[in-house]
Amino acid sequence: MIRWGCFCVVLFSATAAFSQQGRILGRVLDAKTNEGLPGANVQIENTVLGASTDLNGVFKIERLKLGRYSLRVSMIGYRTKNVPNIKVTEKDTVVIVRLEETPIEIDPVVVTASKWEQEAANTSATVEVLTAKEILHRNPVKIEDALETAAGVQIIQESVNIRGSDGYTRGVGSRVLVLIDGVPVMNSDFGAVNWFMISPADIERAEIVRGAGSALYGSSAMGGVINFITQTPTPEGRTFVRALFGAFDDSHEPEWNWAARENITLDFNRQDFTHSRQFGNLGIRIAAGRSVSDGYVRNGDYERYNLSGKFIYKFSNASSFTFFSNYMHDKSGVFIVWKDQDEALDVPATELDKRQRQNGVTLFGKYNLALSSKAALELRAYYNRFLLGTQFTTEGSFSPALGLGGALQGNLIPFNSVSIIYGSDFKFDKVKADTALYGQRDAILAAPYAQLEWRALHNLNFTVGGRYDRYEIYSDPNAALGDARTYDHFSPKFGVNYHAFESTTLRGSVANGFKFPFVAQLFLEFDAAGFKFLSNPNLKSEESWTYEVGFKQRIGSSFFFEVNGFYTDVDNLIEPEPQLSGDVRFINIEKAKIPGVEFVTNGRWWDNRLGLKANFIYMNPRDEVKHQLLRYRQKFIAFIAPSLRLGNVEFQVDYKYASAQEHYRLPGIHQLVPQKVLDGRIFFYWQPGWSKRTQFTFFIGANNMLNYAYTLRDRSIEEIRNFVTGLTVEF
Amino acid sequence: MFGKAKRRRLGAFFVLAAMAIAAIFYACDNFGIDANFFKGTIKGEIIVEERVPPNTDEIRVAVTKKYPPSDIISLIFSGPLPFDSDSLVTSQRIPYDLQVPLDEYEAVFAIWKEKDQSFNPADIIGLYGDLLMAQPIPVAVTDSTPTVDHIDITIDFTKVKRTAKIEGRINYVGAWPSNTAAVAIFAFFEVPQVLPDDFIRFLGAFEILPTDPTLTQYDYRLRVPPGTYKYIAVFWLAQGAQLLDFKTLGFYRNPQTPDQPGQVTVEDNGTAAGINISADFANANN
Repeated sequence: MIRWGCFCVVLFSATAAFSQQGRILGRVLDAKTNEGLPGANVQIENTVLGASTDLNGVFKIERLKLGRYSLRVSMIGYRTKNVPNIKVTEKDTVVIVRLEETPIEIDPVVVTASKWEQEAANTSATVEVLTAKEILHRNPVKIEDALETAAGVQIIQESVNIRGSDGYTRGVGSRVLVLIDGVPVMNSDFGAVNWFMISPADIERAEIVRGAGSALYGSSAMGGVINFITQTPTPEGRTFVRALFGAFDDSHEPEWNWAARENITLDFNRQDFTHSRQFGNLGIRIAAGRSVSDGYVRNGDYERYNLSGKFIYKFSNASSFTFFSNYMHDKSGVFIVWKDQDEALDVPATELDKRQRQNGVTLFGKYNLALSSKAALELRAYYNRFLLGTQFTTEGSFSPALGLGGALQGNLIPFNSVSIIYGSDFKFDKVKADTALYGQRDAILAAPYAQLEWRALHNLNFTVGGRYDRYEIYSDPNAALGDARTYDHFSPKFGVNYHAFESTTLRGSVANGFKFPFVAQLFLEFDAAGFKFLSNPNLKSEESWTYEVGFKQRIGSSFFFEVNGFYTDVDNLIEPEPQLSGDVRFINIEKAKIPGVEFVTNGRWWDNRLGLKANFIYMNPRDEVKHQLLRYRQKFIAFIAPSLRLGNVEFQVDYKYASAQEHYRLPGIHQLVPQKVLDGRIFFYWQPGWSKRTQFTFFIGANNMLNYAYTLRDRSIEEIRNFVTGLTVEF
Repeated sequence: MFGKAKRRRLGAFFVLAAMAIAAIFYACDNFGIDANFFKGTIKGEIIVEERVPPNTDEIRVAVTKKYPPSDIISLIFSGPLPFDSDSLVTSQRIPYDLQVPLDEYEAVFAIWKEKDQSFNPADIIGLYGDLLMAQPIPVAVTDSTPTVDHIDITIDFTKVKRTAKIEGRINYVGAWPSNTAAVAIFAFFEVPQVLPDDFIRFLGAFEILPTDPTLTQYDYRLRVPPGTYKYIAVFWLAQGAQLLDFKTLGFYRNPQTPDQPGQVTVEDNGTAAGINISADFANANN
């Protein structure tokens, strides 16, 4: 497949080389202020060519065959603008584009749905974008909690769940693939993500694709994909500093406060710093974060650091190299279950001294090359090293899990109405722990994929694609018997997108999803807090078919609503289940179904003073063998967030409701209550007269204002009421 | 002050905001879970009139709303009881109290756990009621009587003194069903006729066997209390089935009359070998 891709690429390159060429010079301006917009993205439609604007909003696109083109100009915070019918001649063509500021992202340009840039309105997948501003405003401490503002996303401790795809597994064997700039960051042994490696201040936006994404992304994307797009170094040099401080209130049940907590205020604080700058063709961005908390439960304390750097070197408009590095360190207490419901914030006596230490390093490099106006290549290589196992047993039993991966991806536009993404992912995993845990396991993955998008009519797009994955786990060299295993899977996808009117989009898709069992799910055995977890080397991979239809209506430039219906049919769902002995092991549930419907809306009124974001999802994730709701799933989830901005002051309220779960995993009777969380915050914005580029934001807020006590997993109370205040400075 | 379009948009906002406020009021109706959910208490004494076996790891009290329980996760367990493991102690009374929600419970019982082993649901060593006949006495914990005292349980370790062995080979016939949850070997003192009572009353020991679909035979060794066993069988449990919904794949047959169950007598520290069983998966769906 790769040979064919290269052949086609060379063919198109040769065609381009013998043609006469021209270029487009242009400037992107803010429609209101007429000032140049740095960092705007300019793309020539039906080609792979594009550029970013410099400090003054100026861009330049070269090597264009003579003819007529359309430009698509996009930028976070601005409405995407299409400029049709630009004639490129041998003389320079000059274009001025004015972008209108938009208070909400209605149809932003996304990269995750198809692995290439396209407007969300044209995809057959359901994509939601959370901007940096939304992430920073909603939850300044933990990035994963900010994700819960997206429709259908639920976080239970480290486990992320989209549309009921996952329950609670402490993140092990996640069905939601997490990426940074398109590169997977799941660890190789547990298949989990360490959220702290992602600093909220380092993110430009998070793209959330709901539904099976295996046809492009393979195993782990069965429930969806979350892609954190980190900020691109800005031409003008930008610095961001944020410091916040918070404190936990007492719980509403005085007897829950453990003895050592008496007369002590449990507090937390976080600091973030980022700086980006352009030096000629080299853009640099560095970020550092520190987060310390006493925790609201005993053993809930932590101290975490992260450091990341991003470097982009542009060789020309047609080629660039990106290097990203990240280091994270976490030192924290271990809270698995409470002592009992009378002492719900305390841990059992045997757990008092349980501590864990986690380290992680992630590096990746990407080389992008436009071979012609119709063909591009991207070469990716990444390395990650995580030590997460200490939370499951004594320190020293695990060695860091290593993942070394690479990908070659091509983008081809053979006709104006057809674009093709093709490529192959490779990965080598090396994980090692004591033989009693899971031993030494090496694994290798190879996965070619391709996806074709065909614009049959100006308002009708079809998508067809598929990916073949082969994953081999080698035997533990110390095992008495060979226990190697191989998993193969082909996952196809079909999609359609139809613009009934300019502001009305209909879409539908049928997608196959799958997930191989991870090493920890197959082989790990451990005891924790009096519970025993057993291995299950006979686990089969799980497979799903997801059918989805959606309708999106845009009303004006600042309001939309969306209704989606979905139905997922899963075979051999891998879930941790209690055994006859009360011990827990991952098993295959032969049949599970997740039908559901979701409603999403976002709008701003009264000159952007009033805002409302809301989503509601009703689903019924069922275990078809036991004929009951899947464990740790909720049927109904609602999120409502009104806001009001008056001058330099903004008020925001978030309310989240989720119906009670019905089934947990540990023995005992549980008091099952719905989740009802009310957060509120006030922002004060100040721009000093002496600098247009400087912005101060002071905020004060309260999370879980009602001090509502609820559980999302066995014997563990979610965060109690806390107050937070902080200051952000950007200059 | 506002144009018509703006008024309409504002109207939409206020409708939606009213819904949000209603939701917030709904949120204020209570505080979620509380410390006093387990308002009731069942208390009493565990009476031990013999030496505690040295391989004892834990003894706990458990209550269940339905007996026999449909699965182990519906049980409420106490913490491990502080028993005296000194071999010279032959009589002890261990007080316990167990916090429970107000409700009616069909059974209160004591369960034993062996060192380095998981809980075995067969290891019920005491029952409030008649252990031998598997007849529990229900206990009601109500608003008017939130504390129910004197629920004393006498312990009988006979069942868990597995000082004898039965061993042999299980030959699996047919393909393993894909919905296999568990396969286990059971030894009964009498052929169980009435489920579930006989199942509990006559059960000597059982052991969960590996569920590897590639297995065609398995050499088992079942530790049992000494005695005579009249029914030794391999049972199969489907995913999602209740605890006692076992299907019999095969049983040890009398060599003289193969359509009848075989009888095995095993003495203290003795081993009964060659107790082979053919386990046919075709019986899983009967």
